[in-house]
Amino acid sequence: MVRNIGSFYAEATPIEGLRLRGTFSFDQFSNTQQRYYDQRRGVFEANQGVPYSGEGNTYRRRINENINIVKEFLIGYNKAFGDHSIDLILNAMDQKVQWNNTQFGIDQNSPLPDWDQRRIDEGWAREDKGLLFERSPSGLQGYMGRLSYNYNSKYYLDATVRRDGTSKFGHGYKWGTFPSFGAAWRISSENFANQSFINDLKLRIGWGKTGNQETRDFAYLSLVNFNPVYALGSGGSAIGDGLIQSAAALGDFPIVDMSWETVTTSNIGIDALMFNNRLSLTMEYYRRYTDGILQTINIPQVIGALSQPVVNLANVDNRGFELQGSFENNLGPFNYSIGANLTTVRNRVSNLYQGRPSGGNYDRIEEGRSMNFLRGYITDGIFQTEEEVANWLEANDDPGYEAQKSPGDIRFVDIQGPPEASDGENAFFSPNPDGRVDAFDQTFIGKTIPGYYYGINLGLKYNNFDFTIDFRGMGDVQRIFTNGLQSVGAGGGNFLVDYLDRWTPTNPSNTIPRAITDDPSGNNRIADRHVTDAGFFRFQNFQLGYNVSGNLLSRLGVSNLRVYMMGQNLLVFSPFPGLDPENDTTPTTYIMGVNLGF
Amino acid sequence: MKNIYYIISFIICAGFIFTSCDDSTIELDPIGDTEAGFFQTEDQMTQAVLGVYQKVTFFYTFRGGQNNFLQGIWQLPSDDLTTEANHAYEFFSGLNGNNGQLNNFYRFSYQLISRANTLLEKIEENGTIAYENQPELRDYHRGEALFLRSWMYFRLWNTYGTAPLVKERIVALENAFPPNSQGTELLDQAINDLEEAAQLLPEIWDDANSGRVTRNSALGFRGKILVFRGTVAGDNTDFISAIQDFDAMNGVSLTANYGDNFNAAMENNEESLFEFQANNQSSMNNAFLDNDSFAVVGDIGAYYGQFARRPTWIGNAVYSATPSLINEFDKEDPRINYIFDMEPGLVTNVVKYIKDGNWTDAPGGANGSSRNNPRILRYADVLLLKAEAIVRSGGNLSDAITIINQIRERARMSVENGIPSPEPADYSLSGMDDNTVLDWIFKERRMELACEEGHRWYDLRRRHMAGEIDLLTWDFDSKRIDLEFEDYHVNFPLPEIEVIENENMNQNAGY
Repeated sequence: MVRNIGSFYAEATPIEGLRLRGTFSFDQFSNTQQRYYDQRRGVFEANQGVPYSGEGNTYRRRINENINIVKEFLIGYNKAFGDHSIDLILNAMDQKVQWNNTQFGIDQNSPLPDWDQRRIDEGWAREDKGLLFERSPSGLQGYMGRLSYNYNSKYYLDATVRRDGTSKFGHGYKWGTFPSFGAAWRISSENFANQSFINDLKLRIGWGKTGNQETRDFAYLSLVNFNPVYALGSGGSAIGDGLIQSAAALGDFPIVDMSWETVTTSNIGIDALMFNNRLSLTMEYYRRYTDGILQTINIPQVIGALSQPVVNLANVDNRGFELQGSFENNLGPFNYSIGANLTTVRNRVSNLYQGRPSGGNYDRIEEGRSMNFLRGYITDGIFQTEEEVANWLEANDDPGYEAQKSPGDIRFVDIQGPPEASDGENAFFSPNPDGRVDAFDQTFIGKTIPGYYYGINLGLKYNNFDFTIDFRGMGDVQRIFTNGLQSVGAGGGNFLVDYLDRWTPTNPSNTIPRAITDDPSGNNRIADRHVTDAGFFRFQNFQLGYNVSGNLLSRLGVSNLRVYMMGQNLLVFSPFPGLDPENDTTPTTYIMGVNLGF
Repeated sequence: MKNIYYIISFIICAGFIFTSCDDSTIELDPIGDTEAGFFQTEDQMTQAVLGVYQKVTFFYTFRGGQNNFLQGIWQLPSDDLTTEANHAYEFFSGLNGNNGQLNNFYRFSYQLISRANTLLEKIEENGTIAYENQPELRDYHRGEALFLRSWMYFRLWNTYGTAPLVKERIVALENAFPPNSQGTELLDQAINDLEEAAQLLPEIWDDANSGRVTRNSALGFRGKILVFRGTVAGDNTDFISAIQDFDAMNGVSLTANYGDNFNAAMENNEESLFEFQANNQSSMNNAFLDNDSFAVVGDIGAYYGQFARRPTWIGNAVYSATPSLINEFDKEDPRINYIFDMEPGLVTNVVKYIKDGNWTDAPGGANGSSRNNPRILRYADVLLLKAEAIVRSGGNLSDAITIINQIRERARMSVENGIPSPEPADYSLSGMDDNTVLDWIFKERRMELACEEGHRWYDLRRRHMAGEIDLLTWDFDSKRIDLEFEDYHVNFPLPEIEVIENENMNQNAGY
């Protein structure tokens, strides 16, 4: 693996306040993998035990390259006259990204005995040689202008316009314009607000658009897929094999008018510093409105496409409050600080592409709901008697899941049906039960975007000791968790002890269905009974440090010496029954260290 | 000195301005062809034709799991093959719109249809330019697209009954919500298309192209679909037309030995009308990857592992011949040896296509993927359909019986030691009524075509729909205790997601 990162710039200041700056930066990253398989390796493989017969050695080399080149040119001008000052920036940017994948290999049938050959071409039949070269280019260009003005450090105005073009979209859809505007009023600079306990008080508002273009390259084009092959005639490698011919097919269903996803952010906030800078407070209300979020959609199978098209799928509205506060003070020889923050999120989807919902059980997108919500069936416990089953079957159809329905199976609830004319034009279900349990009965069962996040941090200093501790958490969020709740099928693996408590005629459980192979009653369908609270409160971090000081150090030329101990991801408190509500694989880490500076 | 620094800086800066104004950064063309630049030459058109054929592969490959291969959809529902596995089309009661294999069958079907429709569209649009050097290919290609699309319509009708009829390439999302097809609409379209295909396709392809469909393929297949439609719609003219199509075929005949039809060394022979051209090249077939997504490793073989328990971990997803099928044969019928392994107590007792390891790859390779071509349409099938059409259209019964006897004679000759077997004996040519002869035909079809292309299920299905037999009381001889056939099971469920998202389409009744 080799990586080169570099950046050059040249800057000129022809007159006072004016600067011209050109920047050229590149990032080249390559990853090379070489493989050699010895035919005799079979001796060491548990299922083989002897060398592979009829094979020789295999050589392979794979090289992945990423090249990212950015060129920028900036003109900046600033000037102050009297109480007025302005700052103007014009910037042009050009970015080229190239990804290359080169692979070659010589598979099997090699007479060469080991990897240390200078030339590995000899001795192979043509059909044993493989070569692949893939490339994928993309590019981005942007122009930006920003004008900032401030009057006497009291009023601030800031206006920006960006215009960005990308290779990701088709002709006529490549360019987007993104203006933004900000204003601030430093109230504390006004005479009437000149209170001694206020150090700084600022009211600010902002409004702006940004663009997002990240999606599959050339998603707007119908590309020819040359992967298919078909064999004709005879004369292949064995009797019955034909000669392989290259074939072609169109696999895309491009939506040509896909274009920039635009995020419009508006916010209003107050920043305050009080009591000798000891107390800091920030309050903000924000709204982030994403217009045309870029996402792939499932399209009807009758189209016969191989890939999913990318569309500007929906508008997503995020809004909420952000509150932050911190306080710092001395108490005798101690210095302590305490900080907290809270962010609330209300997420709503609107204006779906062609009015069509998309996504599955874990990432459903529907009008009026939060993005990627959890969707599934509603259940009502478990059948306890044959009579309950018979009564249920009397009232409900459950296609394909009826034949073996019996006590111990989940009782699903018919809540909705197929849309009728009276449900309106874009309805995709009817709120009236139709006597059948089917996909129309799946509904909102939980959300994956937390309703709020928060964090708390504490700090303490005493002489040369310092100690910090961080907590963070989130709430109003759910996850689907199926462990221990599904029908136990045939053997072949380990089972959770939870299953000892499954439904049996003598153990009438209402949570875990009976044991039966192949789940003929569809008990395992994702439903409300799988939804669990994934909120948590996490002891994220602590650090205890000691700064060694003294004449001895300076005499040794050491400018600082710090000894510390820290821990990360220490504890999590959550109703979630799995290992971790966020990520099972995040480790708990303890670090002891010494920082030495000369 | 300072001035020089400024000048150099300025030149560099100006250089950046100049290069930044160039549009080439974002006006990129992809590496490789786009639709707009393709379909311009005979070679490209031929590649597109093979792209339609290639999709046939998906119906026969392993697809990497015991619940992924699709052959069960047509092999299991009948009384010929059975399994203990949870393959719902074996026992019907577990069928619903979330069946993975049925959903894949649907998806692949419309992918093939889409490729055929695209090709037909491009032949119309670019035909004059693209076929400048070999104008005759234009007709051949159109004929091939129509044939393959018809094959798909036929399979869709036999599987779902009411799957939508898509005759044109769909390029706008608002056109992607077609209604169910009604009655025999899918068959009607196939019959029309194959009539045209029979006029367009060549009599024969050169050796390098053998395996592509011919005029005989189109005639034989059209006749077959006519007999199917005639059975359920009860229209006599269908049988008359079918006989005309069968009679118009020439140059096809039964092979000398029944077993030649399942021998990898005898593919595309004189009896063959349409085969999937299976291949199994070393380092080519990865039975876990498809042949659309990867250039060199996709699966292009035919899977027979359900008859050989390959790979071993597929567990109980193996198919066995029912006693009811085995008992249909006369004890000394030589065909038995080519279809069954008669060793008592065997679960994997079907050897068609995998008899003797040398026909395939030991047999069927570790993953059950084989180079032996599934014979999708062969002349023996056509002959028996002709006999059926004769009986159903009130023709001369002795003509029909002669055809059955032709099949039975070939069976008697299909012995390894050269001495013809006494069984199955010829039927008497006279003194029979229609129903007896029809029963003979279906018995012969069951034996002759056993465990091949779902012939038995398709026959049972159309006869039940026509009211000739009653599957509600049928003995399917299944290993499943939960087998429960109801009238609506003649049509399998459409994919639930397709039905839900398409307000113009309804799920088949019962599901």
